[in-house]
Amino acid sequence: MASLHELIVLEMGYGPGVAFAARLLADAGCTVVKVEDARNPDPTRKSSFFAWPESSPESSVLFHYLNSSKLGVCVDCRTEATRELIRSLIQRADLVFIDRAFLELYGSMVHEAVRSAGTVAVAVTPFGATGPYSEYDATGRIVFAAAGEASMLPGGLGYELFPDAPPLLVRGRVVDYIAGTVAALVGAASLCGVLVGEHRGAFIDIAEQETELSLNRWLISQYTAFEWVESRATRAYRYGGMMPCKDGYVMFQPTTDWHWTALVRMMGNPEWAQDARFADVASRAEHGREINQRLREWASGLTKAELLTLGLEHECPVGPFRRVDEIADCDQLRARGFFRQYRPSQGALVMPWPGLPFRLSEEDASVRRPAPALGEHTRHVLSDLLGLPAEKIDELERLGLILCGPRSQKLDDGQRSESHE
Amino acid sequence: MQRKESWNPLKGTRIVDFTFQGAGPHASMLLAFLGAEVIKVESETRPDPTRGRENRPYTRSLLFEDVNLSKRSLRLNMKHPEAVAVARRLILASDAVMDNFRPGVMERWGLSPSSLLEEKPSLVVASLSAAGSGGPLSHLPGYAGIFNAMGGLGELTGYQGGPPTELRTSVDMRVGAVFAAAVVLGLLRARATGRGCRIDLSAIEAVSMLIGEYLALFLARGVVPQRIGNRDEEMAPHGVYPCKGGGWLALAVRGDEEWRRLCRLMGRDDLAGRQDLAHVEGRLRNQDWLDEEIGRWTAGHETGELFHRLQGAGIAAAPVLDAKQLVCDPHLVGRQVFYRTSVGGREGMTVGVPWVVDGERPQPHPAPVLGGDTVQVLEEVLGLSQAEIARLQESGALK
Repeated sequence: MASLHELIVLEMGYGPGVAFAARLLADAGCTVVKVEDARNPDPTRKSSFFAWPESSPESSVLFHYLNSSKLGVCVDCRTEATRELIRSLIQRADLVFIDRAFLELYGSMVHEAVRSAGTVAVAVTPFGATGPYSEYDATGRIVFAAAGEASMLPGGLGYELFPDAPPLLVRGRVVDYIAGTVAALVGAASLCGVLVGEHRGAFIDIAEQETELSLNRWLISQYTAFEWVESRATRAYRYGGMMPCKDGYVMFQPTTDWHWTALVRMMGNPEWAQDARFADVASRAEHGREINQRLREWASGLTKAELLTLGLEHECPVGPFRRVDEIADCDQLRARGFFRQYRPSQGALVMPWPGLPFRLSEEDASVRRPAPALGEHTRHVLSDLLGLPAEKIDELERLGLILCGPRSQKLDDGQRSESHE
Repeated sequence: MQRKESWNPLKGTRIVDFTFQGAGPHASMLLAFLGAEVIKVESETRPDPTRGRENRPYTRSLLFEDVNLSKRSLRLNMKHPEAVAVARRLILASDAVMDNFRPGVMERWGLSPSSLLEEKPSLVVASLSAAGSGGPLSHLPGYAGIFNAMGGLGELTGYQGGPPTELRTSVDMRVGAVFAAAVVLGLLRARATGRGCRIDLSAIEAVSMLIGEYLALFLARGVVPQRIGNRDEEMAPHGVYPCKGGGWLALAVRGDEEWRRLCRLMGRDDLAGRQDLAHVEGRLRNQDWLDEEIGRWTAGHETGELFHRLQGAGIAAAPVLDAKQLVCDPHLVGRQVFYRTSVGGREGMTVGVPWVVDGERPQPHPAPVLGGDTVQVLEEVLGLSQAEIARLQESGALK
C-alpha cells in the first residue's frame, strides 16, 4: 500500500481557486508544495481586510485559511536561471494545479510534463484555456456575472425592496472555491489512477465560468426547451421563502404537503390555514401572496432561535439566516467538530478554525501544519524532493534565486496543531 | 487518425447511488463524468421526484436529465426484504455507496455504515444531510434555501442596508460538488491505505466552508462583516453598472495601475490625476460618487463593447448574462459547453461536463429511464441467472 503523503501535489497560482483545490488535497494527507515568486508573493498574504491583529503572524487570515497544511517554496520566477528548478518540480509532481498567471510563465513546461512524465495538470482560469475569452482575466465575483445566476439576483423579497438596483453578485470567493472543489475532485480522481498504476498524463482545463454555469444547468434546459428566461422579477418562491422575524430573517421551505402540515401545526393550527384554498401545492401556489402575508405576520413576533426550535419540533424546513458569529457559536457545528484547533505559528495560541464539512478519518481533526511563511520549506523541498545537495541550495540562496524562510525547515510533529478535543 | 482513449480516471470504480433530488445526484453525476460506474437505485413507488410523474412513460424530465447523465438505473423496492439483500450484495461488490436520506434510513434497512464497513473495510460509505447525522440539529429537514441561510452565505450576500439573499438551486449544486470531492478523497484514501471510511457530510457546513475566511476572521478578530452589495472590501471601484440597451456590466479595479487604465478608457484624465484617488484607500472612501461617475460612462455604451474594451485593457469585467444570452455566447458555444438532450420528444440543452481534457470535452450519456439497467446490473455485477432475476421480479423486489 502507498501512503497519501507520497503523492506530490504542486500548487502554482495565486487564485483562490487553485489554493482551495490544493488545500483539500493537503487536508486529505497529500504532500502539497505551494510555489511562490520571490518578487511577487501570493497577494493574499497582505490582505488588509483579513489582516491578523498586530501581535499575530505575518500573513493574513485569508492566506492561512487557504494554505494550512502545505509546504511553501519561494523561487525567483522572473529569471531564466530558475527555470530548470521549476521544471524539476513540475516533473516530480503527480498532480499540478496551475492558474492563469503561472500558465503564462510555465505553460510549455507543464504540457511537456503531461506528455513525458505522466503528470496530470489541472488549470483553473476565469474563462478557460481556449476560446475567444481565454486571454481575459477576472475575479470569481466578476465571472459570476457571466454565468447566469447574477441575472436572477436578488429575487423574492430582495427584488421587491430594490427593483431598480443592479443585479447582485454573490459575496466572497465562493465562485473560486467551487472551481477549486471541482479541480480537487478531478485531481484526486487522477491520483486514484496513480495509486493503481493506471494513469496517463492529461491537461485538464477548468473554466470558472463553466463550473459556475453548471450549477445552474436548469436555466439552460428551461430556456432551450420552453424558452423560459428566469429573471429577478420571476425568481421568487410561490409561497414561503425569506421572511423578516423579530431579530433578523428566516427561511421557510414548506415544499411538500407533509411540510405544509408541519408548518400549520407549528403555527398552532390557525383557522385561516384550514381553508380549502390552501389544500394542495397547486392551490397554495395560486394563493401564495396571502399565505406569505400571514406567515410574515406570525414570524415577526418570534426570534430566529424560537423559529428554529419550532421547526425542529415539528420537522418543518425552517432555518434562520445566520451571521458568522452565530455560526461560530453553533452547538451543532461544535458537536460535529467542524471547528478544528489551529496554531497559526509557533508560539501563537491555539484557536478554533473552520474545517471541512466531513472527515475521512479521526486524523482530519487536526491541521498538519500552519500555512507556510514565505519560503519556509524551500530548503526541505529542494533537498528531499529534488535531491539537491546542501551546497547547491546554499549557492542558489546566495545568488538570490531562492528564498529560504526564517522558520525551522524541519517537518516534525512539533508543527502539527493539536487535535481537536 | 486513431482517437485517443478517453481519460476516465475512475474507470473500474463502482458506486451505488441512493441519492435523489439535486445535491446528491449532482455529486454522483460528477463521479460518473470521471468514468465511475454509477448505479442509481430507485423504485416504482419511490422514484427520484425530479423524474416528474407527469413525464411517464418516459420517466425522465429535463430536471432529472440535468443531474443524472451517464448513470445506470436499477429498480429495487427497498420495502421488500429480498431487495434489501440485493442492495447489500451490490454495495459490497462496489467501492462506494452514497445517500442523501434523512439520518437513520439506511440503518433501518440494516445498511448502517458500521455494518457495511465491518464487512468490507475498504468501502466508502457517504451520506449527505442538512446538518449531519449527529448533534442537536441532525433531524433538521432542509433544502438549498435553508443551507444557504444557516451556512452563512445568504446573510453575507445582499445590498447594503437591505435584507440577506435567497440563493437556491446553485447552493444544492455547490453542496453536491463538495460531496463528490469528499467521496473521491475517500476513494483515494481507500486506495492508498486499504481503509475505507464513513463520510457524514453536512450541507450547512459545506456552505460555511465556502465562506470560511469570514468565519476565520471572526474567530481571529471578532469581525462580523456587514452586507456590502456589489462592492468589495479591498477593491474599488467594484460593482455592476448599467449599460446602453438595458444590459449590465460587472467591473473590478484590482489595483492602482488598473485604475489609471480605466480612467484613460473613460477619457477622464482629471480622475487619473487626482491624488486622493490614486490609491485604493482613497477610492474606497469615495465609492458613492465614483460609482455614479462610472455608471454615467457605462450607460453610454453597449455591454459587449465595454466588456471587450475593458478586458483588452487588462481590467476585470464581464457582462451580466441570462439564459438566452448564455446559449448563444460565442465563447461558450465555441468551447462546446452545452450538451443536447431530448426528453419526451422535447429537444433541449443542458450544460455538459465542466472540464476539458487535452482539448476535448468528454461526452456524457443520456440519463437512464427508471430501471432501464436492472437486468444487466444484476447479471453483470451480481452474476444472477435469468431464472433468479425472474423470481425476484415475481416477488416484487424489483418494482
